[in-house]
Amino acid sequence: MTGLALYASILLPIALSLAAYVAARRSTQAAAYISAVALLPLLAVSSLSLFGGSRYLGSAGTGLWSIFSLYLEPYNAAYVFTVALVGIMVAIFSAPYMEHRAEELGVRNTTFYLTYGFFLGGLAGAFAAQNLFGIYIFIEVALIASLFQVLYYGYGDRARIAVMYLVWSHVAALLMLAGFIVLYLNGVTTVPVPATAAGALPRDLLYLAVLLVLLGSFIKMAALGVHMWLPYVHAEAPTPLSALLSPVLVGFGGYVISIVALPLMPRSWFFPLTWYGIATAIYGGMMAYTQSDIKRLFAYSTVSQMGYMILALSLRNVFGLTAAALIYISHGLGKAVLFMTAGYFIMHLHTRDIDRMGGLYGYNSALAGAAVVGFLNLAGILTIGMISEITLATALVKTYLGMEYIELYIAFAAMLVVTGIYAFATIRNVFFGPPKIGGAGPYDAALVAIVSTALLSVLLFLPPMSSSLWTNISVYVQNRLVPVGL
Amino acid sequence: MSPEYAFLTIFLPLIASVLSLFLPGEKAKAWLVVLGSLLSAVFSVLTYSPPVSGIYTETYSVPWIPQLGIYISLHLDQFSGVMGMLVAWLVFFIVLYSVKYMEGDYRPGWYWFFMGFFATSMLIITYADNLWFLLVGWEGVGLASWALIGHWYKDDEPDVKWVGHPGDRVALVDYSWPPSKAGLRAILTIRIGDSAFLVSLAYIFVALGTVQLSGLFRLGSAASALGLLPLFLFLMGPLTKSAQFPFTEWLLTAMTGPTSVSALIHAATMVNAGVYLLIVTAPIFASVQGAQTYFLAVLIFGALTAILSSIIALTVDEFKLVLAGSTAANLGIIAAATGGAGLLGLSGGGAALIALLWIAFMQIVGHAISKAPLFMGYGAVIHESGTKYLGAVGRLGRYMRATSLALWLAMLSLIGTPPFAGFFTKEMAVENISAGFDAVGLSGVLVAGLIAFLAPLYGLRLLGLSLVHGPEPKEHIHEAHPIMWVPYTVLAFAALGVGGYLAYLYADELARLVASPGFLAFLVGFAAALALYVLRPGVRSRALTPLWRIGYRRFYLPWLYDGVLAWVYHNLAHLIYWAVDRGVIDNLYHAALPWAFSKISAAFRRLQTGSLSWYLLYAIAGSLVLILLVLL
Repeated sequence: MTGLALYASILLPIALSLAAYVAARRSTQAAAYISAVALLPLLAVSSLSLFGGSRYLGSAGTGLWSIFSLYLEPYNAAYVFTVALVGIMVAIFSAPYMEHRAEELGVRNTTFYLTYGFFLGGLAGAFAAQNLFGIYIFIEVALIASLFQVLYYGYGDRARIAVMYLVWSHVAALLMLAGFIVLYLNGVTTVPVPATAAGALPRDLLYLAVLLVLLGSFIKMAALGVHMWLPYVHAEAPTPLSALLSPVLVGFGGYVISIVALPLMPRSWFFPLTWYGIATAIYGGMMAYTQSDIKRLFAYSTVSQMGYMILALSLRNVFGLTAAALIYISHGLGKAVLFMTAGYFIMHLHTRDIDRMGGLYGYNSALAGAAVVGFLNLAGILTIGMISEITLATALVKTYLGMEYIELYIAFAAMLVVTGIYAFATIRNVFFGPPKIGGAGPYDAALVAIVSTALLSVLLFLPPMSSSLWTNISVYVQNRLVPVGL
Repeated sequence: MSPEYAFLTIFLPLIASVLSLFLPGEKAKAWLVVLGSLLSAVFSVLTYSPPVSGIYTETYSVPWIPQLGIYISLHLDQFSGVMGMLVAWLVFFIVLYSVKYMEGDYRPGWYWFFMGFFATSMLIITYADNLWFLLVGWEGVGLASWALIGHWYKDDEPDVKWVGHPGDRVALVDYSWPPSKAGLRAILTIRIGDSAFLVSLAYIFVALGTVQLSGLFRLGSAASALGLLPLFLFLMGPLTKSAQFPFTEWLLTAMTGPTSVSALIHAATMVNAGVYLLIVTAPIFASVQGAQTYFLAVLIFGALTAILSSIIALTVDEFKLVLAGSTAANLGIIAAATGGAGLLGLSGGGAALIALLWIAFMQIVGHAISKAPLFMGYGAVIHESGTKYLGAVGRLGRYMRATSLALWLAMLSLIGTPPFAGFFTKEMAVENISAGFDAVGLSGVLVAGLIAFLAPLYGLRLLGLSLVHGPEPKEHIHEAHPIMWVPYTVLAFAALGVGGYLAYLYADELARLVASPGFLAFLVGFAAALALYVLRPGVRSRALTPLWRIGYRRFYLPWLYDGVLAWVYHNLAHLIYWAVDRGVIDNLYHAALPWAFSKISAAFRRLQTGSLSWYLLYAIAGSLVLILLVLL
């Protein structure tokens, strides 16, 4: 019965996307709200698991059908919850935005809303899939759906960007798939991969599989050195999609690392991975600081946040994996707020150029307040981001305790400072200073979505919300993920 | 302890300020926050009645995320009890004052929200027994000060709302700070300290299994294995938050905020959080092996700050900047007195240490009740005269009598004149410093004497050049509105009243204090200041000009921070962006790789000639290769 609820909640967005498609022919608003409502069951199911500790297991049958078996435990529920919540908010946001964009392009919104449900359903499915191939199939659904959105509603040279997105997201997906196949042929079929599998596999083959999965995940996460696609794609994608790609899609790589690669990884790989995470975070943060296109700035900030996530994953303890899930939530909500804010500017001010902004607090104070909260999520101040940051710091010290790791502590502190620099410098450049643009920003559905998301990120910080989600995630991590070989 | 009262003390200002967001009209917002702070102040007294002595005497705890050591827990003792009342009452007086001061401001929603938020954050720090819970308040005060320092976000009216002379530059670096820039400087300086502070809290949790202050205190010598590393990481938090050298700069440019905000930051909240935390954690850290080094560092940082900031206060030419310099100097005194207490108390045992720390703590009180009326009073002066520059307007004593009286009383207390509160708290704090230096074989008298000597100089300079002498105001100047002058006059008299109470309390010590070298140095400084700035102003020395310039330029630290450090970070980031991100990575993936692909595909395409004889040749060659492969 619980399995059925899980299937239904994942398939509903996909099924209702057809209704949204039909509705979009008449009214963008209707289509947007259908898309939002379609995600409500998913939000409910994942909340029950995340906050209440419920567990769901769904099987579609044996044999080939087992590919589609699903599971939902508090750990992956954290990811699914973020997907559903951000999906709902972005759907509401998209009502005015897509109307504006479609008008601008002289096309209809039908394809956007047809693919929206597939994208989110696919993504949620990928996080809930228990079978390695199931993960791959679901993520392909999400990728292809989002590809159409970039191609039809993107900005700039969108055909070229769509190809870039197609190529690199598939390089990532196929590398993962190759790793999955190696594991599959050796009898590892379900996630989380048990550590005992590591002993059963020939060493060379094991390393090859882990390496392939890691590489694919790094490209997906846009980690340092393989982040080339992200600033372009996230900047040129239609903004509602950017608000989903950046927070929820890229973090998928981190999830795959946590349930497939980590249990199998040799111990000696963890320490370099820690440094790689910090390097990615600092690099992304510094690059974000240099950007004057606000969407590119946010895109680089995503690179930085994925560095935080890699760092969290590399710490091989209960706090680290819990931190990874929490970072996914806090970054997801924070970045969704910020991309939607960028979308609000695009919609009403027709610019993405920070140099043309300044003093926008006076343009709309509610928007400014929400955007500040968005940044606070990234900087780990008084939002769910703070819980992530505390958990991450504890995880770091838990694994590396003592004077001999002082350089690691300094690098970690530098990482937080770099984040602070781009966050507060951007707030100043955009919202403070002499006003360059007059008028007042309207109070529309987009603003409601932005402010609500920001408020939720503060609410999740408070007890008992943060208490229950932290406890449920960590208990699962402790019982099922940490003993797995870590 | 009644935790209900404590929670009401802490959260009432926040509740009021959150509700204020939904009220239309500036007046309604203002009075709601005033009401919230008044109730909070009343409950702060109820929380501390009956008073309790000692440290971590009573605690209360509810779990938040226990696995991570996060509890919502409070401690009540002589430190938190008095600090709570001090903070809550000062907040009340300051918000009451700002009802009038901020009238007609263009951003009331933001202002009133963050005032209440600020108070709650500070009260969390005051009562928190759990360091993670304290961190919530800690980040809160940082955020609130960022928000309020940059309150006038439009960066308009440079002559009133900026710090420095607009257009002033030193070797290519701007020496004037608009509010938005001052806010950024504050939050980034604090972030540096907070990042290290966060790591140290995690370290303490992992190493000792708890971050409950009372729990850590009870560990006693079991905490000794902690080592010095977390202590120094920890110290970064208070050093930046309390604007100790070399992190003083943000506090000086924080003067871009409305004066009520300056009063709040300097007297009641923010900067006091750092030194307060140093004091309440000292008994814990005293058990850690190598604590002597830690306390020595605190002593030296504090003393250095006290001396250098006094020099800044003596040389700058803005009312509020002088006061800001004096705040930094007093925070230095408090920090140094804590360091001294730590050094002395290490040998003396628990009770002796707490008695010495109490001396450092009392200086927080003495400074706060003197500094709050000074800021509010000079806020009224700026409000009335329309200038913030010392020397631009003078002889205000004649026009603003009540204000002038309050300013004199408060300043005399601040610089440590008997029988004001400041005299007792400062003299005893300076004794801590002196004895602390003596304990490690350095000349304590010299340091303490210098600190005591400088205070009357900057204090009387400010009063002399603005209230007694200086140019006659061009326009007619009125006394401030009663809603403004009543709070600061009451507080200024409170400095006198508390002084009387302390005189009664420390009657036995009076003779010793008056005969101490610190007080003698103060008298010399006072006489010199009286001569130079009140009785016969206008003495100038050419020989001292270069030294004056160094102080006026604030030891060129702004040039280092806004110039060199900002330039290096900015250009390094851009260099990496253009050289690595665009140069290498973009070219590699978006140019070289596609180019290589197209070349390879072009090469293969050439095989497709369309001629049957070539295809036959490929077929034969291919078959041969296959046969060879099979055979071998």
